[in-house]
Amino acid sequence: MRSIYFAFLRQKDHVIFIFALFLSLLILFSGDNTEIAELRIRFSRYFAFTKIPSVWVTSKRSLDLENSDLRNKNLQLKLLLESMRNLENDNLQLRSLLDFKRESHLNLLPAAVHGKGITTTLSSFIIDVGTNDGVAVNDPVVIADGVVGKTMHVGETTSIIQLISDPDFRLSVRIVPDGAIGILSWLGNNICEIREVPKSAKINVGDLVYTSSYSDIFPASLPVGRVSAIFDERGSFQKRLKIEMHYNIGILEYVFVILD
Amino acid sequence: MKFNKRYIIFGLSATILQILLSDLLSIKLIRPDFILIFLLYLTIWEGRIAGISTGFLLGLLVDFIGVASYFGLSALLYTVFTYILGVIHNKYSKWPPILYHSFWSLCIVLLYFIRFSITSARLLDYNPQVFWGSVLFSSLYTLAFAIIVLLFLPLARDS
Repeated sequence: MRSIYFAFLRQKDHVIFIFALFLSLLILFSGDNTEIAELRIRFSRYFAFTKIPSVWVTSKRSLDLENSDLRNKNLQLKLLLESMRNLENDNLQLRSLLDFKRESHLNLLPAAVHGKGITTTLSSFIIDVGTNDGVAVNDPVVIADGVVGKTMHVGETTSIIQLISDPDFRLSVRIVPDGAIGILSWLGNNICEIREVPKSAKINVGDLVYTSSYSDIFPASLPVGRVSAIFDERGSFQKRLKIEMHYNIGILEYVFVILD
Repeated sequence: MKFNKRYIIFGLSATILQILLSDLLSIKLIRPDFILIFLLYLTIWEGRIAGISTGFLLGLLVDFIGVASYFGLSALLYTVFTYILGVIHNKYSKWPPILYHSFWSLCIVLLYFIRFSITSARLLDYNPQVFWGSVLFSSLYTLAFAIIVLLFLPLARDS
Protein backbone atom coordinates (compact mmCIF):
# COMPACT_ATOMS: atom_id res chain seq x y z
CA MET A 1 0.00 0.00 0.00
CA ARG A 2 2.79 2.29 0.98
CA SER A 3 4.69 1.54 -2.24
CA ILE A 4 1.54 2.30 -4.30
CA TYR A 5 1.21 5.61 -2.48
CA PHE A 6 4.83 6.54 -3.22
CA ALA A 7 4.45 5.41 -6.84
CA PHE A 8 1.41 7.69 -7.09
CA LEU A 9 3.38 10.58 -5.62
CA ARG A 10 6.25 9.99 -8.04
CA GLN A 11 3.93 9.85 -11.05
CA LYS A 12 1.34 12.36 -9.88
CA ASP A 13 1.55 14.51 -13.02
CA HIS A 14 0.72 11.48 -15.19
CA VAL A 15 -2.07 10.45 -12.82
CA ILE A 16 -3.59 13.94 -12.89
CA PHE A 17 -3.30 13.96 -16.68
CA ILE A 18 -5.10 10.62 -17.01
CA PHE A 19 -7.79 11.78 -14.57
CA ALA A 20 -8.34 15.10 -16.42
CA LEU A 21 -8.28 13.31 -19.78
CA PHE A 22 -10.86 10.81 -18.58
CA LEU A 23 -13.10 13.57 -17.24
CA SER A 24 -12.82 15.60 -20.47
CA LEU A 25 -13.70 12.57 -22.60
CA LEU A 26 -16.62 11.80 -20.31
CA ILE A 27 -17.93 15.35 -20.71
CA LEU A 28 -17.29 15.31 -24.45
CA PHE A 29 -19.24 12.09 -24.95
CA SER A 30 -22.11 13.16 -22.71
CA GLY A 31 -22.66 16.49 -24.48
CA ASP A 32 -26.35 15.74 -25.06
CA ASN A 33 -26.99 15.03 -21.40
CA THR A 34 -29.98 17.14 -20.28
CA GLU A 35 -28.46 17.97 -16.89
CA ILE A 36 -25.31 19.30 -18.53
CA ALA A 37 -27.43 21.23 -21.03
CA GLU A 38 -29.40 22.76 -18.14
CA LEU A 39 -26.15 23.75 -16.43
CA ARG A 40 -24.84 25.32 -19.63
CA ILE A 41 -28.01 27.35 -20.09
CA ARG A 42 -27.77 28.62 -16.51
CA PHE A 43 -24.13 29.49 -17.02
CA SER A 44 -24.81 31.30 -20.28
CA ARG A 45 -27.51 33.34 -18.51
CA TYR A 46 -25.02 34.47 -15.88
CA PHE A 47 -22.33 35.02 -18.48
CA ALA A 48 -24.57 37.36 -20.46
CA PHE A 49 -23.70 40.16 -18.01
CA THR A 50 -20.32 40.63 -19.71
CA LYS A 51 -22.11 42.00 -22.75
CA ILE A 52 -24.27 44.41 -20.72
CA PRO A 53 -22.05 47.49 -21.16
CA SER A 54 -21.90 47.16 -24.93
CA VAL A 55 -25.59 46.33 -25.19
CA TRP A 56 -26.43 49.33 -22.99
CA VAL A 57 -24.34 51.66 -25.10
CA THR A 58 -25.51 50.41 -28.47
CA SER A 59 -29.20 50.02 -27.86
CA LYS A 60 -31.34 52.24 -25.71
CA ARG A 61 -34.62 50.68 -24.74
CA SER A 62 -37.01 52.87 -26.69
CA LEU A 63 -34.92 52.82 -29.86
CA ASP A 64 -34.47 49.11 -29.46
CA LEU A 65 -38.18 48.37 -29.57
CA GLU A 66 -38.73 50.59 -32.58
CA ASN A 67 -35.68 49.15 -34.27
CA SER A 68 -36.82 45.57 -33.68
CA ASP A 69 -40.21 46.37 -35.14
CA LEU A 70 -38.65 47.93 -38.23
CA ARG A 71 -36.24 45.04 -38.64
CA ASN A 72 -39.13 42.62 -38.39
CA LYS A 73 -40.99 44.44 -41.15
CA ASN A 74 -37.82 44.70 -43.21
CA LEU A 75 -37.27 40.97 -42.96
CA GLN A 76 -40.86 40.24 -44.00
CA LEU A 77 -40.42 42.50 -47.03
CA LYS A 78 -37.08 40.98 -47.98
CA LEU A 79 -38.51 37.47 -47.71
CA LEU A 80 -41.39 38.58 -49.91
CA LEU A 81 -38.92 40.06 -52.40
CA GLU A 82 -36.85 36.87 -52.45
CA SER A 83 -40.03 34.88 -53.04
CA MET A 84 -41.02 37.10 -55.93
CA ARG A 85 -37.62 36.69 -57.56
CA ASN A 86 -38.39 33.02 -57.92
CA LEU A 87 -41.38 33.65 -60.13
CA GLU A 88 -40.63 32.36 -63.60
CA ASN A 89 -43.95 31.26 -65.00
CA ASP A 90 -47.56 31.05 -63.99
CA ASN A 91 -47.18 27.84 -62.04
CA LEU A 92 -44.22 29.21 -60.17
CA GLN A 93 -46.10 32.43 -59.58
CA LEU A 94 -48.95 30.50 -58.04
CA ARG A 95 -46.58 28.53 -55.84
CA SER A 96 -44.75 31.65 -54.81
CA LEU A 97 -48.02 33.27 -53.85
CA LEU A 98 -48.64 30.33 -51.59
CA ASP A 99 -45.10 30.72 -50.27
CA PHE A 100 -45.77 34.38 -49.69
CA LYS A 101 -48.92 33.56 -47.81
CA ARG A 102 -46.98 31.16 -45.64
CA GLU A 103 -43.93 33.39 -45.28
CA SER A 104 -45.94 36.42 -44.37
CA HIS A 105 -47.31 34.38 -41.50
CA LEU A 106 -43.91 33.48 -40.12
CA ASN A 107 -43.91 34.26 -36.46
CA LEU A 108 -40.64 36.13 -36.01
CA LEU A 109 -39.13 36.98 -32.65
CA PRO A 110 -36.31 39.56 -32.64
CA ALA A 111 -33.35 38.72 -30.42
CA ALA A 112 -30.11 40.44 -29.50
CA VAL A 113 -26.84 38.52 -29.54
CA HIS A 114 -25.48 38.57 -25.97
CA GLY A 115 -22.47 36.35 -26.43
CA LYS A 116 -20.47 34.66 -29.15
CA GLY A 117 -18.51 32.18 -27.08
CA ILE A 118 -14.75 32.40 -26.68
CA THR A 119 -13.56 29.35 -28.56
CA THR A 120 -11.08 29.92 -31.36
CA THR A 121 -13.70 29.41 -34.05
CA LEU A 122 -17.12 31.06 -33.99
CA SER A 123 -19.75 28.32 -33.87
CA SER A 124 -22.42 29.56 -31.48
CA PHE A 125 -24.31 32.61 -30.26
CA ILE A 126 -26.07 33.26 -26.98
CA ILE A 127 -29.28 35.23 -27.53
CA ASP A 128 -31.50 37.06 -25.05
CA VAL A 129 -34.72 35.10 -25.62
CA GLY A 130 -35.82 31.76 -24.23
CA THR A 131 -38.80 29.64 -23.26
CA ASN A 132 -40.44 32.69 -21.60
CA ASP A 133 -40.66 34.22 -25.08
CA GLY A 134 -41.91 31.03 -26.70
CA VAL A 135 -38.61 29.76 -28.04
CA ALA A 136 -38.15 25.99 -28.28
CA VAL A 137 -35.26 23.70 -29.19
CA ASN A 138 -34.61 23.49 -32.95
CA ASP A 139 -36.31 26.78 -33.82
CA PRO A 140 -34.75 28.29 -36.97
CA VAL A 141 -32.71 31.46 -36.53
CA VAL A 142 -32.51 33.85 -39.48
CA ILE A 143 -31.74 37.37 -40.59
CA ALA A 144 -33.01 39.18 -43.64
CA ASP A 145 -30.07 37.93 -45.72
CA GLY A 146 -30.35 34.28 -44.84
CA VAL A 147 -30.23 31.38 -42.44
CA VAL A 148 -28.06 31.89 -39.34
CA GLY A 149 -28.59 28.63 -37.45
CA LYS A 150 -30.98 26.96 -35.04
CA THR A 151 -31.59 26.98 -31.31
CA MET A 152 -29.78 24.14 -29.60
CA HIS A 153 -30.24 24.69 -25.87
CA VAL A 154 -33.05 26.88 -24.60
CA GLY A 155 -33.29 28.36 -21.12
CA GLU A 156 -35.94 30.64 -19.64
CA THR A 157 -34.35 33.89 -20.79
CA THR A 158 -31.41 32.87 -22.96
CA SER A 159 -30.72 30.34 -25.69
CA ILE A 160 -27.63 28.89 -27.32
CA ILE A 161 -27.73 28.91 -31.11
CA GLN A 162 -25.84 26.41 -33.21
CA LEU A 163 -24.58 28.57 -36.07
CA ILE A 164 -24.34 27.58 -39.69
CA SER A 165 -20.55 27.84 -39.13
CA ASP A 166 -20.61 24.95 -36.65
CA PRO A 167 -18.84 21.93 -38.20
CA ASP A 168 -21.81 19.75 -37.19
CA PHE A 169 -24.47 21.91 -38.84
CA ARG A 170 -26.19 20.52 -41.95
CA LEU A 171 -28.94 22.12 -44.04
CA SER A 172 -31.03 20.72 -46.86
CA VAL A 173 -31.02 23.30 -49.67
CA ARG A 174 -32.49 23.85 -53.14
CA ILE A 175 -30.57 25.53 -55.96
CA VAL A 176 -32.71 27.86 -58.07
CA PRO A 177 -33.65 27.80 -60.95
CA ASP A 178 -32.71 24.12 -61.50
CA GLY A 179 -34.39 22.97 -58.32
CA ALA A 180 -31.66 20.47 -57.45
CA ILE A 181 -31.41 19.50 -53.80
CA GLY A 182 -28.21 19.14 -51.78
CA ILE A 183 -26.78 19.13 -48.28
CA LEU A 184 -25.02 22.30 -47.15
CA SER A 185 -22.19 22.44 -44.63
CA TRP A 186 -19.69 25.10 -43.56
CA LEU A 187 -16.20 25.29 -45.10
CA GLY A 188 -14.85 28.45 -43.49
CA ASN A 189 -14.35 32.11 -44.35
CA ASN A 190 -18.03 32.72 -45.20
CA ILE A 191 -17.97 29.87 -47.70
CA CYS A 192 -20.21 26.83 -47.51
CA GLU A 193 -20.26 23.67 -49.54
CA ILE A 194 -23.16 21.74 -51.01
CA ARG A 195 -22.71 18.03 -51.57
CA GLU A 196 -24.90 15.26 -52.93
CA VAL A 197 -26.11 17.36 -55.87
CA PRO A 198 -26.92 15.13 -58.87
CA LYS A 199 -24.41 15.45 -61.71
CA SER A 200 -27.27 15.94 -64.17
CA ALA A 201 -28.36 19.17 -62.47
CA LYS A 202 -27.85 22.28 -64.60
CA ILE A 203 -26.23 24.69 -62.19
CA ASN A 204 -24.37 27.91 -62.98
CA VAL A 205 -22.19 30.23 -60.93
CA GLY A 206 -24.45 32.91 -59.47
CA ASP A 207 -27.48 30.64 -58.98
CA LEU A 208 -29.30 31.31 -55.75
CA VAL A 209 -29.58 28.83 -52.91
CA TYR A 210 -32.63 28.50 -50.67
CA THR A 211 -33.71 26.12 -47.95
CA SER A 212 -35.53 23.12 -49.38
CA SER A 213 -38.90 21.82 -48.32
CA TYR A 214 -37.32 18.60 -46.98
CA SER A 215 -36.16 20.06 -43.68
CA ASP A 216 -38.09 19.33 -40.50
CA ILE A 217 -36.68 22.48 -38.92
CA PHE A 218 -36.36 25.18 -41.57
CA PRO A 219 -39.26 26.47 -43.67
CA ALA A 220 -38.69 26.27 -47.43
CA SER A 221 -37.43 29.21 -49.53
CA LEU A 222 -35.36 31.01 -46.91
CA PRO A 223 -32.35 32.57 -48.66
CA VAL A 224 -28.99 30.92 -47.92
CA GLY A 225 -26.39 32.17 -50.42
CA ARG A 226 -25.17 32.17 -54.00
CA VAL A 227 -23.22 29.53 -55.97
CA SER A 228 -19.61 30.70 -56.40
CA ALA A 229 -17.94 27.56 -57.81
CA ILE A 230 -18.94 24.17 -59.22
CA PHE A 231 -16.85 20.99 -59.05
CA ASP A 232 -17.62 17.88 -61.06
CA GLU A 233 -16.14 14.99 -59.13
CA ARG A 234 -14.61 12.31 -61.30
CA GLY A 235 -15.97 8.84 -60.78
CA SER A 236 -18.89 10.21 -58.82
CA PHE A 237 -22.55 10.73 -59.66
CA GLN A 238 -22.58 13.95 -57.71
CA LYS A 239 -21.48 17.57 -58.00
CA ARG A 240 -19.90 19.69 -55.33
CA LEU A 241 -20.75 23.40 -55.08
CA LYS A 242 -19.19 26.27 -53.21
CA ILE A 243 -21.61 28.81 -51.81
CA GLU A 244 -20.90 32.37 -50.85
CA MET A 245 -23.02 33.65 -47.98
CA HIS A 246 -24.90 36.95 -48.37
CA TYR A 247 -23.71 38.21 -44.98
CA ASN A 248 -20.82 38.10 -42.52
CA ILE A 249 -21.83 35.91 -39.61
CA GLY A 250 -19.13 37.34 -37.35
CA ILE A 251 -20.63 40.82 -37.12
CA LEU A 252 -24.26 39.98 -36.39
CA GLU A 253 -25.76 41.71 -33.35
CA TYR A 254 -29.44 40.94 -33.95
CA VAL A 255 -31.19 37.87 -35.26
CA PHE A 256 -34.74 36.54 -35.58
CA VAL A 257 -36.07 33.30 -34.20
CA ILE A 258 -38.89 31.74 -36.21
CA LEU A 259 -41.39 30.48 -33.67
CA ASP A 260 -43.70 27.55 -34.34
CA MET B 1 4.17 25.08 -6.81
CA LYS B 2 4.04 28.76 -6.01
CA PHE B 3 0.54 29.77 -6.99
CA ASN B 4 1.09 33.41 -6.29
CA LYS B 5 -0.94 36.51 -7.07
CA ARG B 6 0.85 37.00 -10.36
CA TYR B 7 -0.68 33.86 -11.87
CA ILE B 8 -4.16 34.81 -10.71
CA ILE B 9 -3.79 38.26 -12.26
CA PHE B 10 -2.25 36.83 -15.42
CA GLY B 11 -4.95 34.15 -15.70
CA LEU B 12 -7.80 36.57 -15.03
CA SER B 13 -6.40 39.04 -17.57
CA ALA B 14 -6.13 36.29 -20.19
CA THR B 15 -9.73 35.18 -19.56
CA ILE B 16 -11.09 38.74 -19.62
CA LEU B 17 -9.12 39.49 -22.79
CA GLN B 18 -10.53 36.34 -24.33
CA ILE B 19 -14.09 37.29 -23.40
CA LEU B 20 -13.91 40.94 -24.39
CA LEU B 21 -11.39 41.10 -27.23
CA SER B 22 -11.50 37.77 -29.04
CA ASP B 23 -14.49 38.89 -31.09
CA LEU B 24 -12.94 42.21 -32.05
CA LEU B 25 -9.70 40.50 -33.10
CA SER B 26 -11.49 37.81 -35.07
CA ILE B 27 -10.27 37.36 -38.67
CA LYS B 28 -12.39 35.16 -40.91
CA LEU B 29 -14.13 33.86 -37.76
CA ILE B 30 -10.77 32.70 -36.33
CA ARG B 31 -9.86 34.19 -32.96
CA PRO B 32 -6.63 34.35 -30.98
CA ASP B 33 -6.47 32.20 -27.84
CA PHE B 34 -5.18 34.24 -24.91
CA ILE B 35 -5.99 31.47 -22.43
CA LEU B 36 -3.66 29.17 -24.37
CA ILE B 37 -0.87 31.74 -24.03
CA PHE B 38 -1.48 31.91 -20.27
CA LEU B 39 -1.34 28.10 -20.04
CA LEU B 40 1.88 28.12 -22.03
CA TYR B 41 3.57 30.34 -19.45
CA LEU B 42 2.02 28.60 -16.46
CA THR B 43 3.09 25.13 -17.59
CA ILE B 44 6.60 26.18 -18.57
CA TRP B 45 7.12 28.07 -15.33
CA GLU B 46 5.29 25.83 -12.86
CA GLY B 47 5.18 22.43 -14.51
CA ARG B 48 2.61 19.87 -15.53
CA ILE B 49 0.44 19.63 -12.43
CA ALA B 50 -0.36 23.35 -12.33
CA GLY B 51 -0.77 23.40 -16.12
CA ILE B 52 -3.05 20.38 -16.42
CA SER B 53 -5.36 21.30 -13.56
CA THR B 54 -5.67 24.94 -14.62
CA GLY B 55 -5.95 23.97 -18.28
CA PHE B 56 -8.75 21.53 -17.58
CA LEU B 57 -10.71 24.07 -15.51
CA LEU B 58 -10.20 26.93 -17.97
CA GLY B 59 -11.16 24.58 -20.81
CA LEU B 60 -14.42 23.83 -19.04
CA LEU B 61 -15.01 27.56 -18.59
CA VAL B 62 -14.46 28.17 -22.31
CA ASP B 63 -16.90 25.37 -23.11
CA PHE B 64 -19.47 26.70 -20.71
CA ILE B 65 -19.32 30.17 -22.24
CA GLY B 66 -21.34 29.11 -25.21
CA VAL B 67 -20.25 26.32 -27.49
CA ALA B 68 -22.95 24.62 -29.50
CA SER B 69 -21.35 21.26 -30.16
CA TYR B 70 -18.27 19.40 -28.92
CA PHE B 71 -18.85 20.48 -25.34
CA GLY B 72 -15.78 19.40 -23.37
CA LEU B 73 -13.38 19.59 -26.30
CA SER B 74 -11.55 22.68 -25.00
CA ALA B 75 -10.98 20.99 -21.62
CA LEU B 76 -9.60 17.94 -23.41
CA LEU B 77 -7.33 19.96 -25.68
CA TYR B 78 -5.94 22.19 -22.92
CA THR B 79 -5.26 19.07 -20.83
CA VAL B 80 -3.32 17.39 -23.64
CA PHE B 81 -1.55 20.64 -24.53
CA THR B 82 -0.30 21.28 -21.00
CA TYR B 83 0.71 17.64 -20.52
CA ILE B 84 2.90 17.65 -23.64
CA LEU B 85 4.22 21.12 -22.87
CA GLY B 86 5.30 19.89 -19.44
CA VAL B 87 8.25 18.22 -21.19
CA ILE B 88 10.06 21.56 -21.45
CA HIS B 89 9.43 22.66 -17.85
CA ASN B 90 12.82 23.59 -16.35
CA LYS B 91 14.57 22.78 -19.63
CA TYR B 92 15.36 26.28 -20.86
CA SER B 93 19.06 26.12 -20.02
CA LYS B 94 19.37 22.46 -21.07
CA TRP B 95 17.80 22.57 -24.52
CA PRO B 96 19.13 24.54 -27.51
CA PRO B 97 16.98 27.72 -27.83
CA ILE B 98 15.79 26.85 -31.35
CA LEU B 99 14.60 23.42 -30.21
CA TYR B 100 12.99 24.85 -27.08
CA HIS B 101 11.01 27.51 -28.91
CA SER B 102 10.14 25.18 -31.77
CA PHE B 103 8.76 22.69 -29.25
CA TRP B 104 6.16 24.99 -27.70
CA SER B 105 5.29 26.46 -31.09
CA LEU B 106 4.67 22.96 -32.43
CA CYS B 107 2.56 22.18 -29.36
CA ILE B 108 0.26 25.06 -30.37
CA VAL B 109 0.08 23.79 -33.96
CA LEU B 110 -0.61 20.28 -32.64
CA LEU B 111 -3.47 21.58 -30.47
CA TYR B 112 -5.16 23.17 -33.47
CA PHE B 113 -4.48 20.10 -35.58
CA ILE B 114 -6.27 17.92 -33.00
CA ARG B 115 -9.11 20.46 -32.68
CA PHE B 116 -9.77 20.60 -36.43
CA SER B 117 -9.25 16.84 -36.81
CA ILE B 118 -12.09 16.30 -34.35
CA THR B 119 -14.44 19.06 -35.50
CA SER B 120 -13.75 19.01 -39.25
CA ALA B 121 -12.45 15.48 -39.88
CA ARG B 122 -14.21 15.09 -43.21
CA LEU B 123 -12.51 18.26 -44.53
CA LEU B 124 -9.17 16.47 -44.41
CA ASP B 125 -10.55 13.81 -46.77
CA TYR B 126 -12.02 15.92 -49.51
CA ASN B 127 -10.61 19.40 -49.01
CA PRO B 128 -7.16 19.11 -47.37
CA GLN B 129 -6.15 22.64 -48.43
CA VAL B 130 -8.98 24.21 -46.45
CA PHE B 131 -8.23 21.92 -43.50
CA TRP B 132 -4.51 22.70 -43.37
CA GLY B 133 -5.21 26.36 -44.09
CA SER B 134 -7.50 26.52 -41.05
CA VAL B 135 -4.99 24.68 -38.83
CA LEU B 136 -2.06 26.87 -39.89
CA PHE B 137 -3.93 30.17 -39.85
CA SER B 138 -5.44 29.51 -36.40
CA SER B 139 -2.12 28.44 -34.89
CA LEU B 140 -0.12 31.24 -36.50
CA TYR B 141 -2.64 33.80 -35.30
CA THR B 142 -2.32 32.66 -31.68
CA LEU B 143 1.46 32.24 -32.12
CA ALA B 144 1.72 35.85 -33.27
CA PHE B 145 0.13 37.04 -30.03
CA ALA B 146 2.32 34.63 -28.03
CA ILE B 147 5.41 36.16 -29.64
CA ILE B 148 4.18 39.68 -28.79
CA VAL B 149 3.75 38.65 -25.13
CA LEU B 150 7.16 36.96 -25.28
CA LEU B 151 8.81 40.28 -26.11
CA PHE B 152 7.65 41.70 -22.76
CA LEU B 153 7.65 38.55 -20.66
CA PRO B 154 10.40 36.04 -21.45
CA LEU B 155 9.74 32.33 -21.09
CA ALA B 156 13.22 31.77 -19.65
CA ARG B 157 12.84 31.07 -15.96
CA ASP B 158 14.37 27.84 -14.73
CA SER B 159 13.65 27.18 -11.11
